[in-house]
Amino acid sequence: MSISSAMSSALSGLTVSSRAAEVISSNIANALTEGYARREVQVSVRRVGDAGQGAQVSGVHRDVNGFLMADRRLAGARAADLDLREGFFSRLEGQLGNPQDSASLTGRIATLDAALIAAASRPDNEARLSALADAATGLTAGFRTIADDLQTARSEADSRIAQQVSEVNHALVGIANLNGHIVSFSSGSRDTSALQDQRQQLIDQISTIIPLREVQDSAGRVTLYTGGGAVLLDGRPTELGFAKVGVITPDMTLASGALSGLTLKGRPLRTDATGPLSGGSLGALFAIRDQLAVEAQAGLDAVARDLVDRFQDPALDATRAPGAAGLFTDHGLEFNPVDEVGLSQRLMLNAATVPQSGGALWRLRDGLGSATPGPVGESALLNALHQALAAPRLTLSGGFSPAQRSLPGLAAQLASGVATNRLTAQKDASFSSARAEALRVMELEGGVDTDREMQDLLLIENAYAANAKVIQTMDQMLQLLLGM
Amino acid sequence: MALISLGDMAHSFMLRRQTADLKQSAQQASAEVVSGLSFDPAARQHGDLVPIAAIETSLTRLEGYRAVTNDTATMAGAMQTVLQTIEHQTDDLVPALLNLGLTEGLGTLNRLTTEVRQGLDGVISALNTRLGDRSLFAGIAADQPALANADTILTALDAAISASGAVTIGEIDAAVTTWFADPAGFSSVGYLGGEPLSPLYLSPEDQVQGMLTAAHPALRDTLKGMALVALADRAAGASGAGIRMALARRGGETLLQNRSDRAALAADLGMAEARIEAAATRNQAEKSALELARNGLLVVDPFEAATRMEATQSQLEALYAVTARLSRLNLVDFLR
Repeated sequence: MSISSAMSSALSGLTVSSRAAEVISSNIANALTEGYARREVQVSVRRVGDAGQGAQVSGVHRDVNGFLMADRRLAGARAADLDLREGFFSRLEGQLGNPQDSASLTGRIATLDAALIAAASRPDNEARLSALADAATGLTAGFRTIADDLQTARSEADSRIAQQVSEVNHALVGIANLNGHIVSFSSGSRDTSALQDQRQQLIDQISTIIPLREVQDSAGRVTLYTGGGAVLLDGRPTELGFAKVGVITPDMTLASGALSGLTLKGRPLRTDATGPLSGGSLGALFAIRDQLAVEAQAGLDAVARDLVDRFQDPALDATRAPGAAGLFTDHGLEFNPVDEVGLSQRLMLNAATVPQSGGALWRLRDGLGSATPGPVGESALLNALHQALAAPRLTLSGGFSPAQRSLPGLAAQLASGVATNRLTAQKDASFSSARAEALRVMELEGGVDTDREMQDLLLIENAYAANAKVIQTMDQMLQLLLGM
Repeated sequence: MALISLGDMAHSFMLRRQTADLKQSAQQASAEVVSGLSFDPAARQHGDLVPIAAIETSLTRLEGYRAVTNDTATMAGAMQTVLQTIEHQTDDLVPALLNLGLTEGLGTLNRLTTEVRQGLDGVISALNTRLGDRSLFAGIAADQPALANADTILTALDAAISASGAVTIGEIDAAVTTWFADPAGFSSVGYLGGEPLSPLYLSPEDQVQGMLTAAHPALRDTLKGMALVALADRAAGASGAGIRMALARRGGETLLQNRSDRAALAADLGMAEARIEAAATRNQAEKSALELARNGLLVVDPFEAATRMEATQSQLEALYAVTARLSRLNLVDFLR
């Protein structure tokens, strides 16, 4: 029966061709789909008895390079991590401002400096005193704006943590479901490529949040570990726990218990740089909330404290009663060094010098505690205030190296520290994002190439035509036989 | 790497990324060309903003000192003018006063005392000069006139003389001198101003100490000399023509002696003016030097920036050309 077996071979060729065309059309349709892995029809010889007769589709292969994908995921997580850190430092640098800009922190201090000099020259001149009060108020406003923005950055980090945690939790549930489907489908030898694509997309989605390692067992089920070794998905999904806080103030920290940490299956999880979830955007957000912004706030508070201390010196203004607030106050009161945290947000010009708050400008000239205006030409106090601003003074807090600095010098030191951090983070971030992008390009290179698919399609077209021709010929041969 | 296929997305991803990169550098270069300043000064200083901040602080501070040198120079100039006015008021009187009793008689005395009495008003009003609502010679009490009017001073002198019971020319002179030196006399009745001004800082290093007040001994002696002459017309000194004559002459002598003191005062003030001028010049020079230094830190070479912008632009154009070419290059277009 060789003619009929030839017919059957040709028929199997037609089937393989149309199956291959189907796969190619799916590839081309998904040429621009992110996370779609290119499929390839695996063709083998069909065996009938001892001899090979015809071809058959033995399976559809998903073309994925697992190592490349794992590398790309880790690089993506690291890039997301460093990108967020760089963003934070850039934002802080923008708040501190360019030194050339008079609205920057150093610019505002310089304005106060110049206003003191000008006022000391004409202490009788109301406009000069008023300019001095404005410069001082502007400086307090500058401190407050920066500190407020730092706390806003912390609040934003907090809400984004909550959002990313819920994203991870949802994705883990989805991945666990898909795991189940894939196992049951593949045991029924059905094509699970589409399910695997979906699962890969879900894993990709959370792999920038937490660096993930994926292990796939023989049944096609994946287990997910974090880079730090915590198990996120093993059969059943685990749940990350986090509680968002509304408004964050400088005194609220993770250590004080006012801010939420992370829990995994109800057990607390470390969130610092060496914690099991660090290395992705989640780790960076925790770092911003609990470390970077807190340190920046401490530096800013140290500068604010230096400012307050300089003008709170008892030798400066004899009219100020002991225990009364200095020129710059901690929300109207004398500054106490134990209250340094958050000082920059509470910094105020002494109300005794602010006409709008019932004070008087002449107290800038005659002393905070003086009851009546003194001689209008007296500039001794204003001169002393200016000297207090510029005098070298030991920096007491804020992580600055202990050295004698003037107030403008200390503020410049703070700005330099932030700029250096930004540049380092920028360099790291651009390096890691270049690496992540290079890996991504490599991964995409293995994706759908329409030219290649079209070439394959041409071959298939030929093969289909040839098989059809074989069938036609066999048909003619049979006709010939039947017609005899 | 043996590639038999190259994913479509790899191409577009790479092109997209390169376009973004190039656009960013084009933006940076064009911003630098337009502003002439570095796009990222912090990066240029390797994160060390201390020098720029120090320069900016110094520049702003010099702006403050410019106000001081302007104020102080104006003030010293106005004071110098006042001293010249006083010089004019007294100069012509001295020879005439000294000639009294020698070549001149009572008629001249009457004329001179009236003239001196008016001159005293003039001197006092000159010392009460206000400059921009600031009383020049009143020290720290800059909102007050420096001196009481002539009548108040002369009345107080009348009372002091009659209280001391002075009758001879020597006694009257002594009583007047005592009154001018007495803290309860001139300093509380005649001089209405305050202590001299605190040192004025012209720059972190330069200062002008204790500007002149109307209570300065040299100016006080001028007032005393004129007061002696003026007293010749008043009850206390009017006991006889001889005494009147003698008083007026004594006043003339006092004014004559006082002349050199006032000259020294004017010279001191001139020195202060020179110091102020020198400080202003130094500040200006420092400002220019700092601006140069700042430019060194911030300014980009316009030629270099323009070249970079040009290069980026042509690179971008090439990239667009490549993108267009590559997108046309696909098999589908040829399968007809």
